[in-house]
Amino acid sequence: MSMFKPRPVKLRPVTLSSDESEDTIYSMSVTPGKETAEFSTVSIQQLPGQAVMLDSKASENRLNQEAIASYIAALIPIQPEAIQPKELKAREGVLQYQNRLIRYYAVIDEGVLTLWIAGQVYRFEMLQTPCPDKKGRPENRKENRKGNKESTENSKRGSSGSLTLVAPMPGSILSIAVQQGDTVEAGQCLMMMESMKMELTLSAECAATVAKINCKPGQQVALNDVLIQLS
Amino acid sequence: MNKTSQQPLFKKILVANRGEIALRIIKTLKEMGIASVALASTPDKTALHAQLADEVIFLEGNTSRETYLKGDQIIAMAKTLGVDAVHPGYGFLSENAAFAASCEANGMVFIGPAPQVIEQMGNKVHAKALMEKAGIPVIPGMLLTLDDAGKQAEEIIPFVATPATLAAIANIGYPVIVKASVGGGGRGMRRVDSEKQLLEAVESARRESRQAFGNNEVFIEKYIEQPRHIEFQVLGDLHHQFIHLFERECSIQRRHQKMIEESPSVMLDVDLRHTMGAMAVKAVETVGYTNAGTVEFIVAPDGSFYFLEMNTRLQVEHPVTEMVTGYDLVRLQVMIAARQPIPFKQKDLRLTGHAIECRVCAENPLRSFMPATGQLTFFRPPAMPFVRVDSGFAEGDTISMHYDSMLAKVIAYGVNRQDALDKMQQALAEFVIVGIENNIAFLQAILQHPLFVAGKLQTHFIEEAMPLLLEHATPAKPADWPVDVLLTAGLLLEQNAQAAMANTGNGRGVFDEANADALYNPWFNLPENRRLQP
Repeated sequence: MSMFKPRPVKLRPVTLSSDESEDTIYSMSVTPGKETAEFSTVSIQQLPGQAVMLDSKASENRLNQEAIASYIAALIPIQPEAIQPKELKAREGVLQYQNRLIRYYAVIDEGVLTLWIAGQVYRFEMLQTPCPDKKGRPENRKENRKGNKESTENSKRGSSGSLTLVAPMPGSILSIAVQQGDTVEAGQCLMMMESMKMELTLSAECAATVAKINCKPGQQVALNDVLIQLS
Repeated sequence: MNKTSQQPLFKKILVANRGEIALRIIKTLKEMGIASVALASTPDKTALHAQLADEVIFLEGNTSRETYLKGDQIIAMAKTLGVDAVHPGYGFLSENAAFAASCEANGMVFIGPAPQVIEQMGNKVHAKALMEKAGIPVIPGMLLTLDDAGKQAEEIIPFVATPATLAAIANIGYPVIVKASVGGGGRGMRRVDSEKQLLEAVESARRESRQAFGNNEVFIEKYIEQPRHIEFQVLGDLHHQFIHLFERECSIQRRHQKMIEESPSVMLDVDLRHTMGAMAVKAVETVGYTNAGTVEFIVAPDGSFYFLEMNTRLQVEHPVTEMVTGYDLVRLQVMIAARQPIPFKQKDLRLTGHAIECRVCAENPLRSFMPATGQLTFFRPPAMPFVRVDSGFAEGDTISMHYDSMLAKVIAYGVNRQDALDKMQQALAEFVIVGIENNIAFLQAILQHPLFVAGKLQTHFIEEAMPLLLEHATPAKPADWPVDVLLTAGLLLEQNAQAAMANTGNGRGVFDEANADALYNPWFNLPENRRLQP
């Protein structure tokens, strides 16, 4: 659970002007549950033994999007599902670090922080959290996520890594060239996948027997889904 | 050029495409005072191209086959809206002769060449023969007619090379390349350096082609070492005027798909440009081509060139030509379709400056360019002088697996190549994309590769330069990350954690006024090792 989770929003136009942040310096207006929250301004006190000042003026992208979308939805009642707010667990802002201003764009998803600063993308995983309740913990959610795919993990562990064929990309299955019980040689085509107009031939890495086929032609699969189990 | 104050050339044009090209076409139609009709599949229901059009035909379904390729349904719906012309863009129905014919049969002008020309050029073997007859150089080659009856055969009849076949191949000269007759994307291609390797290469190319396309017909062609892919933009009108708008060099490819294109090509001097341009014009004259098209050539290091194929549509990379000639190709296409003459002569055209295009795609170059899907949580294309960005996406859009992985085309224009390269570097550095994997870092690595900078391009550039490119495109190790990045990350992660804590309990946020400072101090509860050390 992040601070960017959906909150009730009043139907009213939202000004996107950043002028408002002038009034809210040093106040924590990203208060969860406060419907007026639009901007956050964070000041960090001097850390012991050093003179680093860090200022954050971060607009809450998600809240604004949601508010605007609700507002538009109220005005134009046609196709309301088409103007649903887009899920954005995102924030952008400017930080002052010494004599530099740093513009950042950040996305927090599944306990992973992706950060764009000065043309470079950095990824951080959230290793610990002070959250006392396990339900909302990102790392816990991650475990749940793995739990859902337990069979996937097991099958990978149960046989040696190369003996399962996993989807190297999200996409759909075009055709399957083998049947359960078939013996295949190294390099033999097992199936064809398609994603974004790109066709991909998936081949056996070593000689094996097809133990189980977990997909069928036309089916859509996610990245790393186990498609075929070999033995 | 047509002025908007004049009578519009058409009343309403259907743009039978999606994404950036649909958006780009609609913008020109608006300039010309022509109403536009867009197509939108279910995932594209709120896409930019559909937003900008005057009317939208909503197509239920996700895949191309269910939506943008349903020519009959699209034509029927367009007819009820009073559409009088159809622009097919690129891909989808753009090179479908039956669709073009059906448009015409239903009283709508197809903005492109005549259906029979599309068909003629669509068959690569036929097109090559036609060009050879017209005196245009083609790559020497031959079809291996092994088992004509067995094209769909389940079993492959083993290839037996007759002495005549072997002599013919020797006559072409090794190295040769074995290619599958159908399909594309580089599958079924094998390089053969000597007769000894021939048998195995043919067998494996046939096997792969059969598995992929259910057809095991292959042909043999002379293998050109260090080939460049250079194409000419051509135009033909209904008044028998044929013109070329110079070349585009498209040698930077991965998986046989173009990644970076530029005009002019450093390979061509004035004479070679003139010679190749004349051949391109001859090619379109031969088939009586109308509207915009592209004649593709393979160019060897010694300057010898060979006809490869003709694309009977607007190309993805058409903007580089627009930048160096100053002409809007879509506007010219519409004018030609309205039976107007091309508004200039060959001698009036000038190639000015240098333009480069980079295709920004949702893919992971570190994992052999696997396409990526996801959401464009942040999407801020660069905005700077002499840079054009063509994109069909807006921030927040979802990139689905059903369509092309191209997110945007960045086109930089400079007084010369180096100037254009510098501007492109700056543009890519400013391009903010967060939420989906993309090839920006990889494009930047190509742009600074010594061989690329020197203009020493060839179609195998990426595979040969891969080790160095990967080194440049791989993110730095965390230990080398700048302090400001770590600080920002720390701040955001802590804020997130604090918020998660504040959100526990009643499921609704609780703001504790008394502990506000402690709670929101990002360094609250921060372990020693994550604090910034002086």
